[in-house]
Amino acid sequence: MSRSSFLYALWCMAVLGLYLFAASQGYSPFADGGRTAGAYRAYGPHHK
Amino acid sequence: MSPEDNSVRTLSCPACGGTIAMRAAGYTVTLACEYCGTLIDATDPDARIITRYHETQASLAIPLGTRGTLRGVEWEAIGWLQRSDGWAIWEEYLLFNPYAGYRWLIAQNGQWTLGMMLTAAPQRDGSDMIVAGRRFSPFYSGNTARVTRVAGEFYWRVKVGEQVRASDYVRPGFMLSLEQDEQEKSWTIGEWLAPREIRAAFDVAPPPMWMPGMTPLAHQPSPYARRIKGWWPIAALSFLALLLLLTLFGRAMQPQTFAVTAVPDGPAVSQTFGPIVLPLGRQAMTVEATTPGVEQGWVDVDVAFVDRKTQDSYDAYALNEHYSGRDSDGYWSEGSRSQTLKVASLPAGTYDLVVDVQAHHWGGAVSSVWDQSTESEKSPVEVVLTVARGARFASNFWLAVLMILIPPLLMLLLHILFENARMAQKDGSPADADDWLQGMQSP
Repeated sequence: MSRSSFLYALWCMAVLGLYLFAASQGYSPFADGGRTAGAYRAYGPHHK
Repeated sequence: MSPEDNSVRTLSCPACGGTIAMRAAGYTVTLACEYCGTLIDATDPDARIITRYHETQASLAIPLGTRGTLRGVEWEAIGWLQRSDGWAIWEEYLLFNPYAGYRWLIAQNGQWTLGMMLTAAPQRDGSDMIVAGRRFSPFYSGNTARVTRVAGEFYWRVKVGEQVRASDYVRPGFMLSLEQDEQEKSWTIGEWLAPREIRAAFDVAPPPMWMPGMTPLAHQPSPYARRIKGWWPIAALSFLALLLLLTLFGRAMQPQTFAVTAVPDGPAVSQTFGPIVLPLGRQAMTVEATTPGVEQGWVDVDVAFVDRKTQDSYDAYALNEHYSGRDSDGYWSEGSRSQTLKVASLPAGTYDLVVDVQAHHWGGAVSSVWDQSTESEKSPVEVVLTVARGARFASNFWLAVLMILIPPLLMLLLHILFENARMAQKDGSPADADDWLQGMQSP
């Protein structure tokens, strides 16, 4: 395995580790929690 | 090379008096003084001057007389010349081994190529040339290469100003060159040398890493193609591992169902359910809010997990709505009666689920006729909440996929830029996707 492949494999393992950590903590930067405050709400049909 | 060491002869330059070594005595025809550039007839016992020069010679990356082992053969650099075709300048070192003959070591833009003269003309196939089963595509044609400086010894009568018509054919890592003048045609096949190889042989400075804006050699292999090819199995394995992790983690468990009822345009309804016990560390919660009866209106659903001990609140909001009607195009409907909320990273504890619901009937004017098929517009709307421990975040998965793909995509972009820069020197059309793929081929 070349050095660049080794470094890329390390990068992928770091990404997988982060994903695993986030999954174990139930974390996502895109979760719905906290959306209420200041969220823009639009009501009504868009049909014209 | 001890036997041939005895064959090294020295003589004094008849122009400047400098001591010149003749390393391939018996083969050398022309000798160029390393100090003043004067050309001497090596076949004349009196060392007759062919052309007299008084210029200071260049400092060579490989001093003449240096020995190095390339491809298992020890070569000695015996001659050097600089050539130009009007816009590019390159240097050619003549290497000599008494058993293996001559080779050329060509240096341009810090890159090195080992050239060997062919003893037979290549086979032509259309516009391509074929040598030993390898196909070469035309790249340059009709350039005039001119010798601008010369030092050392050569097996022909070289002189500054000597010109040949040159045409080049390439395949990744290789160049086939045709040089011709009025007297003869000669074919040379050159192989690009990896920096590590040329450095090990002659201890030259490593070439600069190619960056956008630099001009690569016509036959220089893309330094990024090898990485892309080495990386894609790692990326594929990582993708499979991610899929496995996505399957193993985040499954919604132990669902509990609660219901709240609200009247459209009536007062907001607030209700507390619980307790909801989260025994372990941090975990996400999934809340599915369904309003099967909402019609021509919307329902605001605010949910909050409130920690009984700390009163910390983790909030989320769903908007369920449904509208329908009939216009000149027929029936239409829009909106969704169900939303799934995912609340991240709730610490372990005992929680109350506080739900605020407010239902509304849409009273705005629309250009179509409302669907009057249902009389449920003002009927109470039931909100069913299904709360489960755990949540599977697809966004995390796609974010991880993106992070895994960023380095290969960056390499792919650099590869395309490299191939575009390489092919920009080619006669004819600019590079396209076929050229980018061809550049991926191994030398």
